[in-house]
Amino acid sequence: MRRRNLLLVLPPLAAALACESSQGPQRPAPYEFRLAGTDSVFHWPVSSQPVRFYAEPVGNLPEDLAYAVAAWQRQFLYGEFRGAVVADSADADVIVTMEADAPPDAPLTDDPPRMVCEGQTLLPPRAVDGTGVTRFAERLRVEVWWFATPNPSDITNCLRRVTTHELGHALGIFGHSTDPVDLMHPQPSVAQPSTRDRSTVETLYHTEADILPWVAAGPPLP
Amino acid sequence: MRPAAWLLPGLLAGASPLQAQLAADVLAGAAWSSPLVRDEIVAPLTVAPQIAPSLALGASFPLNDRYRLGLRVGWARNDLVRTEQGETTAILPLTVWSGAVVLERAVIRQVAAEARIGGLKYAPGGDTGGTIFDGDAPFVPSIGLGVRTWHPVSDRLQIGLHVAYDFHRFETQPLKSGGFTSARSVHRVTVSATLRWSAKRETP
Repeated sequence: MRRRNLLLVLPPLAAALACESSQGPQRPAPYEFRLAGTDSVFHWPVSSQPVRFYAEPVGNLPEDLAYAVAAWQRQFLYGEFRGAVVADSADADVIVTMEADAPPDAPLTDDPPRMVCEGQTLLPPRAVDGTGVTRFAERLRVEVWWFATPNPSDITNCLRRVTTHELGHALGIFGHSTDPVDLMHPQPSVAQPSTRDRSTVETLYHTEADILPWVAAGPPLP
Repeated sequence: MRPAAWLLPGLLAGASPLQAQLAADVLAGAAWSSPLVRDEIVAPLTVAPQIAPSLALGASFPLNDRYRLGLRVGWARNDLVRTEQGETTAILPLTVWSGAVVLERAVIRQVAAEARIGGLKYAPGGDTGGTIFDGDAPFVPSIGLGVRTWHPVSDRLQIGLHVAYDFHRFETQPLKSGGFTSARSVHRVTVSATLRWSAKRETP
């Protein structure tokens, strides 16, 4: 009877001991994410999340922004970053605007990427608040614009890629990749973060930041 | 013969020979789990449920003088947390449902051992985006062992202590997308106070 008891116990124990735990995945080396010319690191702290994004209601910009927020959020596994799209710019931490007329209404396509639009992320001045913490003095702003081209879908496709690229900067990736397969290449040809983009943003969000975001109700800035 | 098919009619029907042999259990305690994920990005980190209050209900009937067969469903809920460089950050609330077929055997006086086979259902709460559960709430098969001790408080009631161990493998689609190539072994230990009501006095 005791042998039978042993038989009851052994299979689960053997299974538990035999299945060695998997470790983390191999990740490609990240590209530079620090602020150019400095060692400064910025990312959104957990206390500031969900980060609130607002898009000017022009063309597909709100849809492009929602796509970009979701695309970046999917790169995380451990709740490091959460974003939300808000309807009022007064509630936003990041404001995205179209610095041009409304683009032509054309569907997204799989056409080869053409750089018929551009964008920039404007980093506000930094200031030391009353507690000695360095913060951005204002909200972050992202601007995108487009150029006339015979195929309007090229503009739609480009604005999707560039908005997502610029959001990578707004998350704190202040550098660029040199590899054109990465979304954070200066001229993005893809609309989704690559494995290296993921590795970079993961590394960024596990690196201690020395710049904190602007806060509406924070200590007064000089 | 399907024991599960026996149990339900026995519970629902009036007095019957089967009902006369049934026992119902309530277990309340705490569940500990080993990490669901171990990773290293800048520094090593783990992701694990915090020790969670747990509750389970069960029903069983005797197969013979020594063995009982039963079903048990359980619930545990607390935060899933990330621990990195000594700092713990809550990710989201996590409920773990469990269900198992339980084979219990009296070992010595007022002590029984059990083996279980069943599964766990992870049910994350809140916004799961940007987490290991992003759009995925896995069901995983599990096996387990346990020990129950008891003390009779009346002809039909017993109170006792139950210690259970479960083993399962854990993975989710976001983990696979993130480059994890294999499931991770997860161990759970639950310690509970038990209350057993028997339709007739237990004489193990």
